[in-house]
Amino acid sequence: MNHQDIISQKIEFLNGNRTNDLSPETLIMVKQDPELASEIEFVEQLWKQTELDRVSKPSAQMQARFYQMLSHAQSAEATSHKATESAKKTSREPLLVRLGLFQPAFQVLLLVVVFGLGWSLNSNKLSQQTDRSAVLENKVEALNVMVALSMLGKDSTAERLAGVDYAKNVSLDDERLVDSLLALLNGDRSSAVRLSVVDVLAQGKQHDQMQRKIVDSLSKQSNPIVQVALVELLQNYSKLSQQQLQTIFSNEQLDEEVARLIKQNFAPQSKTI
Amino acid sequence: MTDETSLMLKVKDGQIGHLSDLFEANHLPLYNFYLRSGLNRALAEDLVQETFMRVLAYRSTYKAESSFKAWFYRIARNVVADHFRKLSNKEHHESFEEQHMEGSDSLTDSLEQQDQRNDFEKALSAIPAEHREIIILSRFQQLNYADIAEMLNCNINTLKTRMRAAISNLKSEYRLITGEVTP
Repeated sequence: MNHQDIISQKIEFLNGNRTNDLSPETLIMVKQDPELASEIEFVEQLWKQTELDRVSKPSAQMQARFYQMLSHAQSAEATSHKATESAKKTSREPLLVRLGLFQPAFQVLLLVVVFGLGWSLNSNKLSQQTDRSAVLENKVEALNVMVALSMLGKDSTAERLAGVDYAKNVSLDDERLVDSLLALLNGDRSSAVRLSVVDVLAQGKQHDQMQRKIVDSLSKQSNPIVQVALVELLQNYSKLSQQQLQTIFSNEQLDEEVARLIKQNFAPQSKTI
Repeated sequence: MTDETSLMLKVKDGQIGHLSDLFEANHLPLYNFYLRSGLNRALAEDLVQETFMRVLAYRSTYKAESSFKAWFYRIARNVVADHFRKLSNKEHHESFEEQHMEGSDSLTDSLEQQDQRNDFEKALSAIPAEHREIIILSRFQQLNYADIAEMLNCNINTLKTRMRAAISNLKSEYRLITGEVTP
């Protein structure tokens, strides 16, 4: 046995790929060769130094990106599977016709048999796959929310903008995410961030509570561009009430042109002001 | 057949949801493999993503007789090699001492252990890339000789020779760094 065999045996033992350490005869050989003994000692030191096993953790964004990729791949796979099945079905039709199975009674019978067989064979598999997909989708969504929240809380404007952009691809069903976006809309020092938030909120569900929050935000905005964007967003909702209009017009920084725009777009209520 | 082999066969068979199990088991070691190979964090994350995309793309080429780890790390090596082929690698390398490893602030850490770790890491970054690679694959990724030989497309005896040279090289660098020997 040469030196590299002895070193490899030692390493395989330390890695758990071998059950036995070096044999007594080999150990005698090692002791007789100071250079080899020193190398074996170094290998032991290197492998047993547990401090070296510390690991760095990647960002949660990496996980989110992976699950997004997997989710897209699953959708693509499902579409491709359906297309293949459809093609197979079409290619089988002439054969069935040649076999004389075009008569209605035979067709119904064949359908029942095939359906029964298919159902019994695939019902378990299908339900497992559906469950797995649902779990995966929930996991993707939770990770996306987590990543978006983390990015929205960054000090750098560029990172917050990236966070708002990221939130465009996340469902706004999560209240924490909506609250974070509204906090940015009402208090972020950057108009670019506030404008981007308006874009994201435009993609969300429209309900009375959201309308109230937008009105409330409009009453605080100083930048005319953000004010216009919010007015446009309000057009997706039902007409504003008298009280809501009063809230908006209570904003002393409301631009004159924006005030005119509001009166034009929400005419029935504005006439009374 | 290992769990990972059977999971990979399921992925190959079209049950691609099982890739998430392989990701959960392997993304952290793979990320640290890239860091130990000298890449920065952002790039390591990108390459982890790229590696799993290739696992999915090349799943039909996986064969059960090959260990999943050997096949997986062969893809990982190709990913990093392709990356450096496309780009100059100057700004992407990060020295080991610049990387923060989890838990290194623990009060229970002895200074001596930390120093020893830093010395090993410095020595590892000082040896040639091909030597560093086989030590990382064996010591940190815990791959066996057969898998590493398969990955590197060499026979086991050649690998044993290379490993001994790598260990000897690392030992010399380590002793230089710790001052046990003078240059």
